[in-house]
Amino acid sequence: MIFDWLTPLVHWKELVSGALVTLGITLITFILAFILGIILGLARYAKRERIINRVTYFIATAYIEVIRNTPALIQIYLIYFGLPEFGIRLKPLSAGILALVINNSAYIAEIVRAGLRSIDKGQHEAAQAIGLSNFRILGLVIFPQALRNIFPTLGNQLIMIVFGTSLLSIVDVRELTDVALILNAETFRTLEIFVAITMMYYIMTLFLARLLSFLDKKMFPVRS
Amino acid sequence: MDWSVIYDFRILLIKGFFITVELSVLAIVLGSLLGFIVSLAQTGPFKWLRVVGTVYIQIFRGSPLLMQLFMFYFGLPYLGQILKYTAPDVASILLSLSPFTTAVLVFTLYSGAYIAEIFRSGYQSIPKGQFEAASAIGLNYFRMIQKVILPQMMKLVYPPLVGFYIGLIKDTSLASIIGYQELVKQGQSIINTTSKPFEVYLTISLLYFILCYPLSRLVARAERRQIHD
Repeated sequence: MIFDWLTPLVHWKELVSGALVTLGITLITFILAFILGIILGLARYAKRERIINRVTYFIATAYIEVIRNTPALIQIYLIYFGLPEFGIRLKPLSAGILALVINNSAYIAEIVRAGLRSIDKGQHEAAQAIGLSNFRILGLVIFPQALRNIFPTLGNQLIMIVFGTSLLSIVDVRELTDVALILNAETFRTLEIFVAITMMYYIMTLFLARLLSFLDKKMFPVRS
Repeated sequence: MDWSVIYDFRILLIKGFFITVELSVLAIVLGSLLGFIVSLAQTGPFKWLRVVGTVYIQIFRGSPLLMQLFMFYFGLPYLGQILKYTAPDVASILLSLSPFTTAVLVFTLYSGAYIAEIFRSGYQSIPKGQFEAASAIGLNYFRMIQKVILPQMMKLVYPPLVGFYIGLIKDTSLASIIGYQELVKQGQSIINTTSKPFEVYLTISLLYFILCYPLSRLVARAERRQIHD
């Protein structure tokens, strides 16, 4: 068996750069998708009698169902290859991040909605009783408690985003999977390189999981 | 926008649709089988089996599916080259694998790991009392699993399992990247001829939606029923 395990070590610069690109894309995607997801989740949660709420609920539901039932790869292709038909030519990185944000916002919206619904009505009524406006009730009372409940699930979604970035290798973004393909084409040491890349993904997810667990304990020491 | 290309190439799209369905069904069936077996190993009494199972699950849940596809797509022929002189029959198989075989293999291994976790967590959610009662009335291991544990597990496991199946159907689109002629790859052939990527990809999205949305509704209804139980 002739395996050259030095190959991935020799190319450590490319591997580290790929990992950093992956983490960077993950972070940007999560922040943007979280913001968009909160908006969508609120639209799905606040389904009151006013017409405008029913309209936003419908739009949010349609958006979420469509995004969740179509593959992320097709969403990337639609944005990167399909939009130029209308004159919108995005750079690969921008198109990739936009597609990932759109895709993950749908999942985060459902997580946020579940979190908001898990807070019992009493909190809302008590906050109303002490005279807080609806906006303040949501922001100061309901949402912080919901965040505490959904934090682990959000962390899991972050790990899913890390795996989602690998799809961007198709549109030529230099993240970790793309580095694997490039190194494979350069050195032909397929197995050694892919074993190294697998280990790097594993280390990344382990590191992120530990970090999230630490943040969870720091930010939410008591969970009812 | 020119939607007539969809009508012109409808046969290719329908063919690709059925190939995607075929790949999805294969991945679901084989993956569930493998996942079930591995979950038995994970919850069984033999420590070395649990270790092997855990390593397998950590590898295939700890890395992206696309990377796994590439690893097998490039790696198996690579192994074949290395084994060409030491084990020529194995090598010849490895060197002549089709994208279909590679895709089915990787999807089975990938889904097996996730399904094993789903089954394992379902199994561990069953109260200990059930196991104790079953052995108290004299059921052996197999009868206990068959008559007491499995029915309860199926109810617990149904929403996350079908939810994962929906994700698996969408993930079969990645097989197009290693060259398997399913729906997305057929669509790309159409795009090469007609240069209408938006119309084609939108139609492909619609076809995936038709495939996945009914299953999503099933999961939603099952989850709502579970809340009432």
